[in-house]
Formats: sequence, structure tokens, C-alpha cells
Amino acid sequence: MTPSDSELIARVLVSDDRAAFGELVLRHQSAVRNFLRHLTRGDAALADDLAQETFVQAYRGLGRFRGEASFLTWLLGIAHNHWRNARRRRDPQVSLADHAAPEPSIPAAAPGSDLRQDLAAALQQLSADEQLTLHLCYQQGLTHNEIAAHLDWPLGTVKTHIARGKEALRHLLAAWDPQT
Amino acid sequence: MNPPPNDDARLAALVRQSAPELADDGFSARVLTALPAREAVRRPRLRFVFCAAGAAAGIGFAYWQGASWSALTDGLTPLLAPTARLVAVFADPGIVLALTVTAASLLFVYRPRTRATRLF
Repeated sequence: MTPSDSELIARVLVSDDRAAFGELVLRHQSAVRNFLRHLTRGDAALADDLAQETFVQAYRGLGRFRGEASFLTWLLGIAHNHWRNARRRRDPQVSLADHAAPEPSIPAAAPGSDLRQDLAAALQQLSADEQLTLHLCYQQGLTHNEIAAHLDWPLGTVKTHIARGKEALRHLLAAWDPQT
Repeated sequence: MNPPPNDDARLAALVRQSAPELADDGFSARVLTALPAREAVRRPRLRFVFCAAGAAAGIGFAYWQGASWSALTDGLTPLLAPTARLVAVFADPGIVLALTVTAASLLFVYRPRTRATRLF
């Protein structure tokens, strides 16, 4: 039977079982790296460096994990802090386009083009906050309340970003929907 | 061709699928290599153990030297008068108000922010 995250965490805490921590890394690396790639606007190398720092810090602070949120949510919180600190240090490698204005609408879908490609292009055109909240909501499966706690934003702000992001996506992908 | 994203559920599913599962490609191994040594992680716990051991040694030494409860209370008696004067200061409503405002300000500035940020 596959051990739960809690069981693996207990093994790390009790006997410093690095294989158990390795299993936790393996289990969550994709979500954390995807999240950081998202924040760094697709800079895979930088995202992986930050992801590595995230897991190392998680290992150091595992004793402080209280289990109030899921382990992945906790990891994403650490990852977001790392990204924010890197940005504060004004590391030139880190994207500072946090509130970049959306670019004009993507052109109408060309015959034979793929909806997913257009979606990826459309997501890139949302503001960073809209992208972030949509990512946390839909790709990481966090509730609005979890996102608000996670980002230290008011719940209303989270809901607004998600609603605006969805609306912008509908607009950008209108060519795919004859009803809009 | 995929159907158009004309409802919330469809849009959510599309966004969910837009980030593919990333292959590990040695990432986990690199993380495990970068983990600190066990001693470094447990240093705060060791500090606590040393403090507790020091306190226990101090108590043991005092007991060995023949210290008693009455000797301790006798030693504390001279401290009672200054303590009483200090407590009397708090009878002044102005002082209490000033301290309350100060405490409220400090609590506001250093308040716990969110469940998530408390984790770090």
C-alpha cells in the first residue's frame, strides 16, 4: 500500500528517513516545479533552482508542518515565499513583470490550430495575479479560502482575480466558441 | 478539434490540463544531495537539551550545597518591597492606558498574518 504524505513525514521526523523524503519530493516535484515555472514565466532553470531550495527548506522545517493544510499547499507556500524573496533581491533572472498589462487579444483560431496552444498563449496574456490564482485554483486544486491564506490576500481579491481571469480567457478564446 | 470552452467546468478542465506532469529527470536525486546533514537540522533541539541539562545541573549543585526552600524564600523577601512599589505604579489609570495602547499597537504590527505564513 502506498504510504500517505503524513506517514512519510512521520518517518522523516522520527528516523530522518531520507528515502521517505525522497518519495515526498518525487510525489510533489511536478506541482511545485510547474507552479514556479508559472511564477517565473517559464524560466525552467530558475524555477528548478527555486524548487530545490523549496524542498530543502521544507526538510529543515518539517517539524513545523502542522498538518492544517495539505503538504502540497504548505510546499507551495514555501515556494511562493522563495520566489517573492528572489524577486525582492531584484535578482535580474527573476521576472519582475508581476503586474504586466495584458497584451491585445490573440488572433482568432486558425484552421487546424490547437485549443490547448491557444489556451497557453491566452494564459500568458493574463496579469500575473490572475494567472497565479487560476493556477492555484484549477491546477493545484486549492479552494478560494486556501489561496487567500496562502497568498495572504483578502478573499475578495482572490475571487476578483479568478473571475477576471476567467472572463479574460473567455474573451481571448472567443474564436473557439460560436456562442460568445 | 476540442470543443469550445463555453462553461466554467470546461474552462477549469482546460486550465488544469495546460500544465503537463513534469518528469522527475533526476530532480529528486539533486534535492536529496542538497539536504543538510542531520546534525545541522537538529541543532535547535540540541540547544534546548543543553539548556535543560544546564538548569538541571544548577539545581543539583544548589541541592548538593544544602540549599532549602526556606533559604530561597528568605532570599526573596528583600525583593518584595520593590515589587510592591512597581505594582503600585499600575494603579495610575494613565499608565494603564498608555501601556494598553502600546500593547495594542505592538499586537497590530506583529499580529499573526495567516495560517500559511505562520508555518514558516
